[in-house]
Amino acid sequence: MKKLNKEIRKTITKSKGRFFSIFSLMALGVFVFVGLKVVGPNMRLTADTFFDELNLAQITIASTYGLDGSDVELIRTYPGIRELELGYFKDELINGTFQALRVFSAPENISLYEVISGEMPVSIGEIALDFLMEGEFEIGDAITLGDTSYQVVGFVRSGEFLDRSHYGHTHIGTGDLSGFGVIVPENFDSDVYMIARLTFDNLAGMSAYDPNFQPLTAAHQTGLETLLKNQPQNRLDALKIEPQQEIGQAREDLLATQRDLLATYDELSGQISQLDLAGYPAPTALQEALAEVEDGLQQIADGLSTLAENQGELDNLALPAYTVGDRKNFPGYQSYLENSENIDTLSNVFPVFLFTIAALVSLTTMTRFVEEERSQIALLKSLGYPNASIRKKFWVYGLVSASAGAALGTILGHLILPRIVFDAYAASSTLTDLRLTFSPFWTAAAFLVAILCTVGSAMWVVGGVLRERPSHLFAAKPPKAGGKIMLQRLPFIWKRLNFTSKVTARNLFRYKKRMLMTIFGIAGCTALLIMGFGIRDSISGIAARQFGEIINYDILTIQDPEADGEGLSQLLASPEIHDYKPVHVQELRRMNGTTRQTITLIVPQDVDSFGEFVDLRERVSKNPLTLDSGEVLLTEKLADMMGLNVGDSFTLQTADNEEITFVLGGIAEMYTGHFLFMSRQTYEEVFSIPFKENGNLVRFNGPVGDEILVRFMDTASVIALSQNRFVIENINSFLAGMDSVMVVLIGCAVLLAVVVIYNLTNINVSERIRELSTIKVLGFYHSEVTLYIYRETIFLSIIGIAVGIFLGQMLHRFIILTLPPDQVMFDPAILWTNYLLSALITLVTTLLLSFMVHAKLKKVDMLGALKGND
Amino acid sequence: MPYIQMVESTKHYQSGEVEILANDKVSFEIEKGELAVILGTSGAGKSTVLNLLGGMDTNDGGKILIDGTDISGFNERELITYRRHDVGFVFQFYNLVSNLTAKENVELASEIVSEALDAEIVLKNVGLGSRIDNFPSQLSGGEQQRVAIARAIAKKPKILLCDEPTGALDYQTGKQVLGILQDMSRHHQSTVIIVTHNAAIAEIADRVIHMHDGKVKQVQHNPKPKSIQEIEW
Repeated sequence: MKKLNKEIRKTITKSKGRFFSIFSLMALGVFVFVGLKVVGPNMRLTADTFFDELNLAQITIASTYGLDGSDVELIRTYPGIRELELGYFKDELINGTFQALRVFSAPENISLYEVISGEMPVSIGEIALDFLMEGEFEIGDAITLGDTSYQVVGFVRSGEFLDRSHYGHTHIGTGDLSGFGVIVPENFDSDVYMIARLTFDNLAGMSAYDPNFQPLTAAHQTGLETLLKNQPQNRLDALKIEPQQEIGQAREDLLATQRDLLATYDELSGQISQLDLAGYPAPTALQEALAEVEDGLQQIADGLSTLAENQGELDNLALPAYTVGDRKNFPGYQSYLENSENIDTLSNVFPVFLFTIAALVSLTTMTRFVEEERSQIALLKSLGYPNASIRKKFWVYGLVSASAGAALGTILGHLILPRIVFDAYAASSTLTDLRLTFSPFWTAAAFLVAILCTVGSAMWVVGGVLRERPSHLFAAKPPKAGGKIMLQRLPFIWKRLNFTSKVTARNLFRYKKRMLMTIFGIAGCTALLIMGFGIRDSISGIAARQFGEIINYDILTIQDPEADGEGLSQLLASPEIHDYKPVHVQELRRMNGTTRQTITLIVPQDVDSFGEFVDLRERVSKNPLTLDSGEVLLTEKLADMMGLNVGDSFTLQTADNEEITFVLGGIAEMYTGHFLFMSRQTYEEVFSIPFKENGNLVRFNGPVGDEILVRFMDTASVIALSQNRFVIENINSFLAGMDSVMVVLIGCAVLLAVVVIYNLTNINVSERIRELSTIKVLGFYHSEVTLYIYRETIFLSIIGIAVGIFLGQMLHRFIILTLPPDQVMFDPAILWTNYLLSALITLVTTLLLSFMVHAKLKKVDMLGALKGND
Repeated sequence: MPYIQMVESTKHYQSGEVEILANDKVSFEIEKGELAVILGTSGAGKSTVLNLLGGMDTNDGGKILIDGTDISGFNERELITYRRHDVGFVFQFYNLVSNLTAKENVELASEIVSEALDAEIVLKNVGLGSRIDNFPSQLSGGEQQRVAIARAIAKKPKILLCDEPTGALDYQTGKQVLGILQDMSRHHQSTVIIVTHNAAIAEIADRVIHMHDGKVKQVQHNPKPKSIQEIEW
């Protein structure tokens, strides 16, 4: 038995090529499989731990008039609140720039900050800044926000801002925030709080990614919204009481004075007229007094009209708006979750596919190994070794090679791949330091598959061999007999083939199993490449198409239709602006399960030249779509999700929960966001209200500068700006992340192609070593020998590539439909360059490997192989 | 000048730590069109001679002149070219490509030289006119060896090297194969060299080279070689 163990060790060291093949196939397969499987959970754990440490608010409440005592009292009545903390914030420009910061009061319990360097502010005049501003500012620097100066004491990371480039909207500067700061509450001078942060009993200790978290949060959100429903009116009424009293008091005072003055006036003018009748001129003093009284009366009249104006203003005071936001309102929160889920989707396809190929090729390799050892098995058997001992060699070999590979793959898959993917994929997030976890489940699954493929398949084949008689085994398995191949039955083709093509054709069909393996292996690699490149193309196409072809306006302004639009009209006439189109913009909603989808309704004032702002067209045919009366155009992603066809009716809700039904007139190409377009006439028919413009699509002559955006924001009637450049930036940062992930995956696919082709060629060579030696002896030059065998590989590669293109399309299609978040559609088209590139990479890999095979064949000992019987 | 001349050719192999002297100053000559037999027991060094003559191996010392050219100084590519154009091999175990028909096996050799004989004609000449489309597995041992001979002669080699050509064949079939080889030298002026341990075969040869222990013991010229029918073993 000792000798047998030695023999096993020798077999492993002697057949390094095969051992390494199985080892690397398994390592690669398990690496990608386990690695991608743990990335998503790791990403979510990293975020969740961070949220836990900061005790991130689960719900935040804010109002346009701030939160007063009545609000706070009311909120406190809501059941199930665990913690409630009130705070202040204000948006200020950094002096001398257009950069707007949101400055918060330092919290005590909820939504704490992680101090990256320095410390939190402890006294008035101190500020801690967003850690991304470190470099721009240093600790000890002074920063002036609005008219207050602060000293920078630290840099912090917030759980409420998770996106590196997008901080949300503001009413100052360019309309977008570019960072945040924290100061002590005493630094605020305000009668009302601005924000309430809440946590809840039933969410305590629950992971933010627990399936129950979102529904429970949504329930609280709705509950609080209901609770606060009457609060806008109550607040407004309460707000009006004091000024109303003041106005009333002032009015009464004025009227009293007026009465007195009128009495005085009557008295004085009576005296003057009596004197006049008596023929005396009125004394100067008397006349002066009268003039004074007249003056006073005039002032009172002025005062009264001012009061009337004030009354009017008070009456027109708008209702405050309350926002009850959940964590999805924090910039970057949702996209981080979606990114981690994208990786989950990817991990269900890419590595599974890759692992399958690796496993199948390992299986073939093990089968071949047993075949090669037939006479060895026969020897042991005739010497009287029990079957179990004979089997041992194979299962040990399979176990060692597969487990070693799987072990390396598991280790690297847990340690390296998640980091690479996280660094690339979460590049837009403020989260760093990925938490690594160990997944016993996926590790066990990977090991199980790896061992099953090698040990299992080897045992299966050995079992078959062991059932044969030793005498039969000693006669090495004869090479497969030649036979007519199908092609020969087609003489018109067969006769035209030259000799070498005939030989290749015969050999192709001789070893069907290896032929299928090669085709499958190559097809798999090509498919993975097409998918990898395809995902990149599909995303990069979005930015280019959506903002290069479809949406041609630079900004969308939203204005108050009641306000004076003079300033805006003047601004729109500035030379920087190419043209603009007045529109009505409105947000519509649709509930999709528990998530709320928002749809932007755009109604142009007139349809003339609307196409220059938004090119409405059908994606595949590129046919232009028109805004016909009675019908509306919906963008493709939502139409797909709702399963709508042209001519169907569908219903959406307005912000006031009014249900509106539309008839679909066409499906428009669009990649991010859901849009609904209709003509002015249709709008008036469907909504039964007159068209009122409240926005402008604006096209600039050049790039959009900060300065002009500030001028827009400073214009009285403008409420908000929506800039496309942020969407473009978002897509681009997502794309950059995807790009790096794809580079890793494409690298793995190429590596797989290398191992697969190398392995199968190796098997091919060892199976046909006699034949190759014979033709060497016959005087074939080295290159001819290589081509003799490699012509098949090249041919099979080409077939494999063709199959792979087909398979890749299917994989790509699947991924492209499942990967994007709700509001995003990926371009399902695959560029022809992608096919070309994927095919070329596979083909070049095949060709490069021919050099290796060439070197190997050169070394084949033709004499040794020719000895012995067939 | 003799057609084939081996001059003090020496070859040793390193086998582990032991050095084996396979050929020790081997010298002999063979004339064009002769049928020569290299006779010796196992380990006598006859296979080494065959490998050297066939351009499948290189010697360590001495000369090997084939038709006036010393092939012992050839590099690998020159050796392949030499094998390709000047040598035909017949092995004990035929070494046919099992996946190709008889005709295709012959073509495998004839395809790579420019002035080869027609594969079908050669197969007819060795008596296999009716089996040209059969695969090796469908042929008997003798028939397979005849295909191997056809493959060797189709490219009109300068020398035909046969390594125990009858070793795997029965008596009658063996004779048949030898008949073809003798016929090649007598009527087609082929120079045929047969390596064997079977002394009976030596009687049909024009020249017999006896080898023992890596050395040529004796070269025996046979002015009146026997015909195949006359020998027995």
